[in-house]
Amino acid sequence: MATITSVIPRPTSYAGIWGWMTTVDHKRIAVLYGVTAFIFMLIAGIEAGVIRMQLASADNDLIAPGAYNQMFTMHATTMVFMVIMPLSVSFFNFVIPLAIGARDVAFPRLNALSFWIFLFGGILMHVSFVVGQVPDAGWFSYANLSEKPFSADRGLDYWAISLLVMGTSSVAGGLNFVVTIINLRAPGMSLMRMPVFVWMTLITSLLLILAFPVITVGLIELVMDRNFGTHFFVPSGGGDPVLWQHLFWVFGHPEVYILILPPMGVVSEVLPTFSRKPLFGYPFVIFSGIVIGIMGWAVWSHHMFTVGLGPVANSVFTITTMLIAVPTGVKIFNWIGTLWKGSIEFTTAMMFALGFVALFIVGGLSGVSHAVSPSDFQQQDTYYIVAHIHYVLFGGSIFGIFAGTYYWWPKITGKMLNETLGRLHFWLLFIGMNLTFFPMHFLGMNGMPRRIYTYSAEFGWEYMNQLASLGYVVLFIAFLVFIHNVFYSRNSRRVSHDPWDAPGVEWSIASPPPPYNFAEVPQILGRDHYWIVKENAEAAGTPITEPEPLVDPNSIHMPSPSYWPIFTAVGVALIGGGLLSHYALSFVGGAIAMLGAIAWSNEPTTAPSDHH
Amino acid sequence: MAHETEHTSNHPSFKQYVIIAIILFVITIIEFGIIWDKVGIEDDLGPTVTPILIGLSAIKFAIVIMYYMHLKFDNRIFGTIFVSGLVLSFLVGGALITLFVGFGGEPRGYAAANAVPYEHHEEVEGKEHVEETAPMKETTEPVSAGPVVLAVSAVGETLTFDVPTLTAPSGSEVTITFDNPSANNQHNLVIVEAGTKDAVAADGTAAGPTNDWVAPGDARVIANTVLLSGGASGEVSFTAPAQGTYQFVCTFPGHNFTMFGDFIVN
Amino acid sequence: MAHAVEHEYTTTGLNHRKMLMWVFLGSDCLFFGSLIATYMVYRGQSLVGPYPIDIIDIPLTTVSTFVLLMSSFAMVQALSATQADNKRGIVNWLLFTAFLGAIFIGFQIYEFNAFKNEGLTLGGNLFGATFFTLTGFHGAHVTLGIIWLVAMAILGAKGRLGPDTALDVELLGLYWHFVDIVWIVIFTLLYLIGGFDAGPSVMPGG
Repeated sequence: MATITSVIPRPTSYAGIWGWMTTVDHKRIAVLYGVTAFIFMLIAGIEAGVIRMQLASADNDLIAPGAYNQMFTMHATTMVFMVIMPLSVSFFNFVIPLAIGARDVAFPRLNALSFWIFLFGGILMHVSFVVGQVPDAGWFSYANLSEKPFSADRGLDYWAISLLVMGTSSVAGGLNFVVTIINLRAPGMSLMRMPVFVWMTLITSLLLILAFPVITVGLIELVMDRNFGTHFFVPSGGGDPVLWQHLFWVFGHPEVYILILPPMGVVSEVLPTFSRKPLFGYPFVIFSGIVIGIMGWAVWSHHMFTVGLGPVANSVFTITTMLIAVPTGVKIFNWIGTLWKGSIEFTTAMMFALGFVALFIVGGLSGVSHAVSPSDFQQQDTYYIVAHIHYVLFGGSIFGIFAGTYYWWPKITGKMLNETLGRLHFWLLFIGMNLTFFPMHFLGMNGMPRRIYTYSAEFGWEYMNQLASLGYVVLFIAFLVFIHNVFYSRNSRRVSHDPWDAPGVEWSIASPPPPYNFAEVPQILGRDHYWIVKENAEAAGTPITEPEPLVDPNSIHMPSPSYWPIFTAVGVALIGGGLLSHYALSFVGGAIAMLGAIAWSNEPTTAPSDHH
Repeated sequence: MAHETEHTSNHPSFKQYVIIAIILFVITIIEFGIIWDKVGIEDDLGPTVTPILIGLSAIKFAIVIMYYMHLKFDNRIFGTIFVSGLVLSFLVGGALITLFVGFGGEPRGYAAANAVPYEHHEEVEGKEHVEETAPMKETTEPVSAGPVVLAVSAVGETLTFDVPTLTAPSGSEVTITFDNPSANNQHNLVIVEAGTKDAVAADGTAAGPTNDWVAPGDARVIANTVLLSGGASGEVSFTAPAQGTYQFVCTFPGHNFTMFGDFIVN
Repeated sequence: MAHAVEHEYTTTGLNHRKMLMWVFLGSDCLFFGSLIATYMVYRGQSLVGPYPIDIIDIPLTTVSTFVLLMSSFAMVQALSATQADNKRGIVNWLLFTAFLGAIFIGFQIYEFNAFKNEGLTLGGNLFGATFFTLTGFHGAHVTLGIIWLVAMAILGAKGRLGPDTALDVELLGLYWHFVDIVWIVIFTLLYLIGGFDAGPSVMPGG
């Protein structure tokens, strides 16, 4: 395999497109994830727009029912798997090594592989639009609607196979971050001194690697039912559609904690910074995160209360679901305790973090009402659930992610996002979000079911739907403001390495960080390490200045770029693509992936030419 | 600064590994012996067979993990990580199985009601698998047998009968005793012409409960029990009609889709 | 895989790649656990035969189980040879492990064929679906392991395996033993216990 690198030399520089395609630097991979996820967010946002325009008036015929089904399926699938998750992973990538005092993740090439597989998997999912066979059975594709007799075209195959491909990316990423966080913390950073965001990432990574295998099995069984004649979920063959629901939700419930724990971690970083106080009750916040991660495995059938599992099962899951609200409440009280008597600075990041807390409380309350199975019988499959989902995922995850974006933007780029535009962005998003989703609580209680493409005027739902659709317009404008802010800020002046006077280790190095992150691996002094460092420096009369760039950057050996990750990812994607077109292609893809893996393992982490 | 401090001491010796391998083989032989009919102790062990087999393989499982995978001598972090995944898979898998097999809800009698029963074969090489429902006898003289008593019951809370087929000689005096052991469901048992169960049920729905969900004077109905509440039993007596295949069904609204069978008159 | 011994800094003093393998194996437990749960949920739910009791050949599979157990022993010897810098031993034990693994796969192929000839198919009944899927994925794991073993044996023949690179053999060993313990579970549940299933049954309580 060394012979291949003599034909195509191992890349050595960061320059140009080839530099981006072969990067193993976590900071660049973070940017790749962030930009890709944002583009998918725009696509999913357009799909949401189509939905809202169709529902804006009764008996509307903007789009046909079949197309409507495709819209809500793709909107949700994209948002969950191709927007929120990769945006969180983008933050993991950028922040974690910096926050723990490391120079990169434990497995930089595996990190790159995760990104490329995600990108190709997301593209594969959207190829379904190109071939006109789009998934349309909802984002959880219940059997046996998802089976061939009821979903005859290849849309569901695109859905299942793309998710299988993207699942490998998630598991690989989860494995990488578990090892990174356990094994690459700088000296002095014990587990109980780790920033909350790092803890939440650790828990999320464990959830990723444990939950995805379950949906992998479910998806495999679905693909086999649809293409190889099995009857896993087909009643006429003895199969039970409810098994699909179980497999999906055993994955699906930890998945929603995967979606919310990282943003909660972000909020736990932002609130202390802009309250000028350490996080209140750090051990409780950590412990409740761990409890949520563990208990999240015990609540999945609350998505199935109306399936007929029986009173015993329903009661058990009601109890466990109500219990899991407790650690979430603990976090909220600790956040409030952090704010209490703090010296609050209303930066945009802070406003998004505060917005998270407020909106997540609303979403959490509707969640508690779902937990009680008798009341869920009324709410299930109505717009009340849609309201809950969006308050926790939009008001929660997306707001938390925007808080992180505004917070870490200066560290990533060396420039701040404009605060005025940021405030406008926040208020438009906040107002738009509430205008869109609050009416849905009432729509649900008044009986409007989910996933209907239209409704009669006599139901009296039109007014609330109009409000919701108006809210979408506000959200659309908010996103335009954000995009404008990103471009506008490219020309703003550079800021210091620590514009917020923040506590995290990542703020002690230059913005943007040099490729090697830390000139010297720091010795961690405690939680809120950098605050301690700054206090000590003030007390000693030697205040902190801009970090000096390293005299000889080549004295630190960083992992070298490599093209094997993208090469192997092409193989994995072809395996999936082959299953959707010609099986021969899958064998080619398998061979490519295997070749890539072997070559990769023969390649040293750092190229010999990079050594002195 | 903690550099790699993996020690590779504390290995079992070659001899110890051989002993471990032998232990694994012996346990496997014991497991085989337990279920081998030439040893024949399986029946003596009764319901303890399953726990014993599971216990024995758990021992093998643990031995391989502890010694071959070296977990006994390695840092506890590895064990914690792996065992967490292992325990989680047992708990979640167990919960899933319990939800299907255990508590209430909609129990799964579908296979019991509709599957092709297992036909025991003698030890014949290349055995053909007989996959048929109850045999349809060819013409025989109508046997005026004595009275025939057939027992049927509903299966728990399911909407199924406990037998897929009833048989009686043509012309005999048939008494069908029907037991409804469920707590919540009402059932009846109606003998109808072949292929008419759903139509009879539809008309029965229109006829209402006071007519026991059977349309009065329905020519397709040969005989029927009254509507039985949960916990009740009833019976119906009639003369078995001309030879052929008929059906029996419960015509409580909606039950006819799963609660039916064949009534063979030979 | 000729890396120099990595004396990189780690917080715990444990090697990154060994930790990665253990975490991965923890994850793989959930994968096989879900497949096994599917099998267990569908026991006794097949609508037509062939049923396990007609098909499952416990004596044959006991032999293949022995073979796989023996391959784990061989794998342990390969690691010992690597740590003892016994170059010939390394190659021979790795190849022997691969050979035994291949015998196991041979048994599996024979079994799949025999079952197919007796009428058990993926689409025929739930027993076919769950049996072939579960044992098929296990067999795929074994096959990947065999490829990995052969690749390592080639490296060993080139003299690139030794005490410095023992970790690479150890990681392969962890994977191989994991595949063995999954088989222990499959053998017990699908053969020793489930092998006597004779047609439809309502499971206790159901």
